[in-house]
Amino acid sequence: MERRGSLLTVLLLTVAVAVTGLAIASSLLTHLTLSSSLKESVQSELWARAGFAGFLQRAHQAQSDAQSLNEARPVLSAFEGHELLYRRELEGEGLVQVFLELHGSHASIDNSSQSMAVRSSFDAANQTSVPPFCLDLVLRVEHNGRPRWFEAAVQQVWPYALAAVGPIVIPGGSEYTAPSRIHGRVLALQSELASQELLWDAYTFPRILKLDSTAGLKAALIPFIGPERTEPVGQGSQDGEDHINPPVLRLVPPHNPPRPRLSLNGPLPLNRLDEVSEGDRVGYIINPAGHVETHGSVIEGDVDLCENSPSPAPAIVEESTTQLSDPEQALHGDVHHNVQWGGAEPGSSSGRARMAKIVEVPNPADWPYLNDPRLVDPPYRTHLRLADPDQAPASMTGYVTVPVPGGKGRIQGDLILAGTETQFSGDQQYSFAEYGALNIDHCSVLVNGNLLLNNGGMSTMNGNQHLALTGTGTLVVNGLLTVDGGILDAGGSGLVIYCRSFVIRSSGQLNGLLIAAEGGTFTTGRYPQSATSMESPFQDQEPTVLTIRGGLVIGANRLQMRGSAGHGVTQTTLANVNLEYAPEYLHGLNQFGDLRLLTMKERQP
Amino acid sequence: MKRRGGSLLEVVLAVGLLSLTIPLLLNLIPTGLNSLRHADQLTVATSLASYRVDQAARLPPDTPLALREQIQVGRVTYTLVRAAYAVDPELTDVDVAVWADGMHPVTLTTRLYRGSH
Repeated sequence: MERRGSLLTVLLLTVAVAVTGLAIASSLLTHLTLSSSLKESVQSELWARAGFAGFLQRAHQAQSDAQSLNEARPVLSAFEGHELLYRRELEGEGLVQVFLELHGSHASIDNSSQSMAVRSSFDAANQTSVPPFCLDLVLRVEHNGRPRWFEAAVQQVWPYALAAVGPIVIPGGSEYTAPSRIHGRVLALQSELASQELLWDAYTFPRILKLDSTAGLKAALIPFIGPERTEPVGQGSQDGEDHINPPVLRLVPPHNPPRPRLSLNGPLPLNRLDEVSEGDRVGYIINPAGHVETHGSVIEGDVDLCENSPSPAPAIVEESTTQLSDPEQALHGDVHHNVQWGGAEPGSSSGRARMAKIVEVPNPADWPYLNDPRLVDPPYRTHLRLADPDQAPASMTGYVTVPVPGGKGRIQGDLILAGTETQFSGDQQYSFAEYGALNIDHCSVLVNGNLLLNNGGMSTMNGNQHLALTGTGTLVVNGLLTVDGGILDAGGSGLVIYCRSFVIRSSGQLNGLLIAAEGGTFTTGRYPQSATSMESPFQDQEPTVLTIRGGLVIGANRLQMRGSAGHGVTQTTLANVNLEYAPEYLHGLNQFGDLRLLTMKERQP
Repeated sequence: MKRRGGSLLEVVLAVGLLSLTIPLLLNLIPTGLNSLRHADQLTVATSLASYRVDQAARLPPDTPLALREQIQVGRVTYTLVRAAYAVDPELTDVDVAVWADGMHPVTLTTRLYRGSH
C-alpha cells in the first residue's frame, strides 16, 4: 500500500508539474497573442485613420469644386461607390481597403446641418450619440479580407465669429459709441489694401456710397474714415458721346507707422463734416476734430492672423489697455500669428481664392424676376414684405406683401424703402425718413442693385420702435446695403444676408449670417457736430447696440464715399455691435470650416 | 503475506514519466521566458510606434516627418525609424518601424492628410 501510495504521489506530482508548466506556457502564449492582437488592433485603427485622410481630401476637393455656398450641400453623397483607401502591402502584409458605409444597417449619418444630436446606426433605441453639426462616419477596414468596423464623429463647423480683411477697428465706448463685444474667434486676414497699392477703375469702383440721401449717415461715418487716400491716375477719357471713362484711382496706404491688423479700444480720431457753400452749391469738407479715448470693448476668443496677401506682412494687434475704471483686459484669448488658414501658405493665392469664394455674392440665374408693380411704386415701398405664399401667411398688418412664388425671386435695380416725415422742435423744422421696413418671410430674394432702408438713424419715433429689417430666409444685395436706423429683428431659423458692402446704423438682434464681399461698417447715431450744422434730436440718444448671433464675414475694405474725394472707410469697423458666435446660423459657411475628427472607435456590428 | 509484484515496473514507469515530462517542462522555461520577453517588447514597440504615428498626425504640414531615434526602456534599447512618402501633394504615408536586438520590427502604417489643419 505504501509503495502504491508513493507511486501515486509521483504520478500526481508529475501531473501537477505538467499542468503548472502548461498553464504557465499557455498564459505566456496568450500574453504574446494579446500583444499581437494589440498591434493588429492599433494597425487597424491606423488604416481607418488612413481612410479618413482620404475622406478629408475628397471632402475638401468637393468643397473647392462647389459653385456657391448659398446652401449647405450633403457631404456624404460625394463618396458613393468609392473606396477611401486601397493599398497593397509590399512585404506580404496583403491588401488593405477602407470603405465608407453609406447603406445598410450600419450606415454613415450626415448630421452636419442639424443642431440636435441624433441616433447613430450602432445606438440603442434610447441613445443619440451623434453630436450636433457632425458627420457620423462608419468605416469598414478590410485587411486581407477580414473586416473591422470603425465609427468616427467628424465635425465641420465654421469656427469664427468674425472673419475680415484687416484693418479691423473695434472702438470702445465713448460719448459717440457704445462698447462692442465679440464672443468667439476672430480671423484677421491681411488686406491687399494694407500691403500694396491697388489700382481701381473708378467707373467700376466698388460700391461708392450713395450718401446723398442720407447725409446724417455720412456724418456718422466720418469718425471712422481710414487714413488711406485715393488719388486719380490720369485724366480719364471719353468714349463716344455718352460713355465717359473716369480716371483710374490709386489707393495710397499709409506706410509709417503701419496700421494694426486689429485695433481694440484706444484713441479714436474724430473728424467733422462741415458744410460749405459756394453760390448755390452746398458741399461738405472733412475737418479733424480731435481724438476721443474709447474703452470697454471686449473680444472673448482667440485671434488668428493670416497673411494671405501677395506680399505677406507681419500683423500687429493693438489692444489699448486704457480702461478708465475697469482693469479688466480687453482681449480674452490668444493671438496666433501666421495661421495657415485652410492650409494655405502665406501669400499663396489659394487663401485669397478661398476667401473670394466665401464672400462671393450669389447670383442664381434661375431665380425668377419679381415683376410686381408695387416694388417700383414709391407709395407702397415703405413697408414691404416678401413672402413665400406656400410657407408664410398671405398678409401681415402694416406691410404690403409681395408674394415670392417658389420661395425664390429677384428684383432688378435698386430697392429704396424710405419715406419722409417732418417734425418741429421749437422753431426748427426737421425732415426725417420714416419707416423704411423690409420683411423677408421664408424666402430667398436677390436685389440686383442697392438696398436702402432709411429711418434717418432713428430707432424709435414718438416712443415707438420701428423695425427696419426682419424675417427669416436669405437676402442677397448685389450692391450696397444701407440700414440707417430702425431695428433689425431676425429670429427663428435666422436671416442670411449677402451683399457687396454694407453700412448699418441700427440696433436690435439679428440671428444669422452677414457676408459682405467688399466692405462693411457698423456705425453710431452720434457724431461730432459742425458749428454750422443743425443739431438733430437723436444726438441726445444713447448709442444703441446691435446684437448679431451667428457670424460676420467681410472680404475687403473698399467702401468709398461719394463726394468726399479720397476718403473711405478703409477698415472693417465694428461700433455698437455685440457679435456672438452661433454655429447654428452658419450652415452655409460650415462647409468651409475644417473637418475635425472628434472620436474614432472600433464597433462590433 | 503475499507480496504484491510490479514495484520495479512502477518505479521504472515513474522514472520514465518524469524523465520525459521534466525535460519537456524545463524546455518550456526558456521558450516561455522568450515568449514573455517577445510579448513585452511587442507591446512596448507597438506603443512607441503608435505614439510616433499620432505625433506625426499633429505636426504642422511643413514639418519634416522623418525621424530616427533610440529609446531606452528598462534594459532594452529600441530603435525607431519614421519615414514619410508623399502619395500626392496632400496625402502622405507614414511608416514607423520599431525594433530591439533580436526582435522582428514592429511596423505601423497610416496615411495623413496634410492639406489643411
